[in-house]
Amino acid sequence: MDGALIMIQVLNGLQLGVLLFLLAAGLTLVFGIMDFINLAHGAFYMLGAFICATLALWLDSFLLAVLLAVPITFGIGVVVELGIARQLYQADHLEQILATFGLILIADTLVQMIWGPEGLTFALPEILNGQVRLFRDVDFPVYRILIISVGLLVALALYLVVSHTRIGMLIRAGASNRRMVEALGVDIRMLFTLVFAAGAAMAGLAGLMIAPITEASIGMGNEILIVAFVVIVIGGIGSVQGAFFGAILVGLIDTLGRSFLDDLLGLFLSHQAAETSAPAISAMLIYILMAVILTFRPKGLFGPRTS
Amino acid sequence: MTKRGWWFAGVMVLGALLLPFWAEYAREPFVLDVIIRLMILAIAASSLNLILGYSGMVSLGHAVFIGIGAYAVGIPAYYDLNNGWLQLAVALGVSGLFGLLTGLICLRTRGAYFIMITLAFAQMMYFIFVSIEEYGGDDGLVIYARSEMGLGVDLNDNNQLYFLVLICLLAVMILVHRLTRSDFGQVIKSIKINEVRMQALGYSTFRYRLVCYVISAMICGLAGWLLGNFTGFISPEMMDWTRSGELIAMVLLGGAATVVGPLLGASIFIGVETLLPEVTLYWHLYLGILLIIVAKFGRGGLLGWWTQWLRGTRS
Amino acid sequence: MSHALEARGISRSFGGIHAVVDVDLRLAKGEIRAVIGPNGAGKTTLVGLLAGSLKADNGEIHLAQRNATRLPVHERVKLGLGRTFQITSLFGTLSVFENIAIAVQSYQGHSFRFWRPANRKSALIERVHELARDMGLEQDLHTPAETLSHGKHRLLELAMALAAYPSILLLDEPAAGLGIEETQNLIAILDHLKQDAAILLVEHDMDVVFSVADEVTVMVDGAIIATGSPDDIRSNQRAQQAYLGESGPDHA
Ligand SMILES: Nc1ncnc2c1ncn2[C@@H]1O[C@H](COP(=O)(O)OP(=O)(O)OP(=O)(O)O)[C@@H](O)[C@H]1O
Ligand SMILES: [Mg+2]
Repeated sequence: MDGALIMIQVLNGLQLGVLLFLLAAGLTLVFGIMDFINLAHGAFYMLGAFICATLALWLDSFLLAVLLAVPITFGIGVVVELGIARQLYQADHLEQILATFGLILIADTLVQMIWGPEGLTFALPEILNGQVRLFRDVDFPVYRILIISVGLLVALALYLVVSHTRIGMLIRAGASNRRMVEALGVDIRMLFTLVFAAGAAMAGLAGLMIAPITEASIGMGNEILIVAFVVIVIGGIGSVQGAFFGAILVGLIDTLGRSFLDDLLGLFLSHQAAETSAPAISAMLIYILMAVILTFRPKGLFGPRTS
Repeated sequence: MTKRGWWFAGVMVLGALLLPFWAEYAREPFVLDVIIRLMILAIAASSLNLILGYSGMVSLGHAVFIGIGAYAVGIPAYYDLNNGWLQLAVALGVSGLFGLLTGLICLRTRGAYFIMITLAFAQMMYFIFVSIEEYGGDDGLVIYARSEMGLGVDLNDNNQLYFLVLICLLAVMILVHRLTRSDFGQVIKSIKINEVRMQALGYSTFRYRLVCYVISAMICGLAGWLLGNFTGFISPEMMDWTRSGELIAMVLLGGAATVVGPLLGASIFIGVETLLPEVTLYWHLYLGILLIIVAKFGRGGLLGWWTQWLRGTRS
Repeated sequence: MSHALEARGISRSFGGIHAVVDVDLRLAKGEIRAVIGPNGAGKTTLVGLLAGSLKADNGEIHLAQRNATRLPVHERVKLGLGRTFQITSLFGTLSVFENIAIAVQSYQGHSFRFWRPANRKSALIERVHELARDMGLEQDLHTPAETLSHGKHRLLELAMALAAYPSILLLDEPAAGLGIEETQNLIAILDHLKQDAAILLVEHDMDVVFSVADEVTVMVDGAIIATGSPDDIRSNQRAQQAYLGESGPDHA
């Protein structure tokens, strides 16, 4: 294992981490404040990607596409909240699961109707396509650095909003005690809409940032959503901080596990055994991590302590 | 069950017994395939109903046990071990064991955490099988031989497979019926209503929930074993979390915490899945809308009348 | 003399609130100890700590001569502990019969039977009827618990707690909301029960307290400020100030 490779993989892990955070932040807030399990949260990730891809192809400008796609996803979030999600806050988790599962089917089908069954790809502008030299002989794609920076900036901004503004105070209060916020006379429904749509926009941002690397494809949000669930369970439902640390932890462990576990196992096992078992074990790593954490902290790292 | 319910059940069973002969006569072998699949899914949904409906544990990873059961056919068959009883034992054993091990962790949590952890463990299994290239990884594994059961049974004959699945379904429904009305059933139903009280009455609620979870896992493993035989092909996709979501949808469509509910739900689901694509390419849209409607009005709403009718007027 | 229940220095706080502070308590068979105190004094928390539904921050709890400090709720039940809840905690949709039966089933121990229908064993049915008779619920056996009157809810709570012949009973305001006749009935039941059990009675109704309690413990802000016979407490200055005198007992 050489240092350069490790460094590159750490950066890749960070990139996965910030993407997970962007998804998990909305999920954990919506969950913590509205007690709403939204399986369809990944749909915003997908929509962000498709919308941005389309705009980028039309306008021939990635930057403009991003600047438009994020507010559009926010708007879709508002519509979904007002039209459907709002009716489900009072329902029990089972009904929420069923309804949001239905929403996934609807979202996936609508995307298929609009954009067809194939994925959508688009090229990055020239300046984002290069590599930067990080270290003596370590090159890393500019665009990935950008993803990490944007993710960290959004995380910082969210942290500042949540911990230093009035809205943030209400959000924190709402996560721990909904009634208290209502007692303050705040229009709680506005707050809900705002939080839901902001979560949607962040998920959309994550989706559109990854789209140039992978592609925009139907159901792309459904798989990563599960990992985002793992993140918020590890971090503690309702905690933005938990979502951040959980996301980075999961991103790093997953990426590093996949790249180095076979070498690591090779220290104890035969080369052959390490080669065959490493992929399966690295696929399990984050779930093992989750199981271990939950064994000691059933409500996650940053969740409320149990009695 | 009421008199009307028994009559209805009798007619259904009779119809099910005659179906293969009709299918042969009418040259509609496809119908038989659809019904086999329906019944297998009904078994899986029944097993989910046991934990979800009767004991209030919302698992979003139940399809993992279908996958385990199916791989218990596929992997031995890959090594030319076609003994059906062996495969069945592996399916039940491994499902039960996986249920036990994950249950020990999942059942320490409640509510939303439970939902997500069951989901995560299922997804873990999914990725494990994706990563094992020996058994086809992502692409799945073709099962060239169905289970050999001996005793003059030949599952390669679709009719015989049909009857085996039918017997399993009936057995599972009877089991669920008896189980949920037994002493044990009384305990799990009461835990669902008020777990704190049950503890104060001296019940180790964890133990009962765990046993229930393992039983449910094994029944679902049985469904997987049947499905592996039926489709002759397995892939990790069978345990994807959306499959688990579909199982939940079936249970709720038909009516949770009822013996016939899962069968009914599986029928609706298969009905939609079989008929709608003939009409529109975008049939998932309508399925999604149906699910949202059921979620909003479903409790005793859309199909409640139907189960109500089966149970007769409530006494 | 050996004690059925002994708590030494137990404390519990929630965030910044010290709900129970360094409480010592002893309880022997044949004794009814009333715990009184204003709202929020920590009485329910104390019951939770003794029953095991809450974990103590410090201190030790012994039940039937066994160290039960770390035992979960259901293990403490096996040591003879039974409790009722201040906020009625029943199986609302089940019938009165089923409510009592699930309690009896726990004691008679046949819950890992998977095939034969429940509630058919004669021993169980007999015991359910006996408990219902003792509590005057015989007429209601087949009504759903949630449709009973408030008074009957309290009696059903008690019936379920008694199913296992507890040797230690923790009763959290059993008389709250009962009518005069029902209260008299309860007093008679308690008098009878104490022959076989040690009873901790949290109660706001002073008539009940002074007519059945052998000992009275006064709690304020989580701590015990006075303890003694009912007569001692009646004349105790601190107890009066803290509780009896100022605002009077809360009958809510
Ligand atoms: N789960 C909890 N979380 C936070 N605070 C709690 C909790 N349970 C009790 N408290 C607090 O602990 C204190 C003691 O409460 P407790 O219910 O034990 O009082 P009590 O004496 O039973 O009152 P009452 O007579 O009203 O029943 C109160 O200040 C209460 O607000
Ligand atoms: Mg109280």
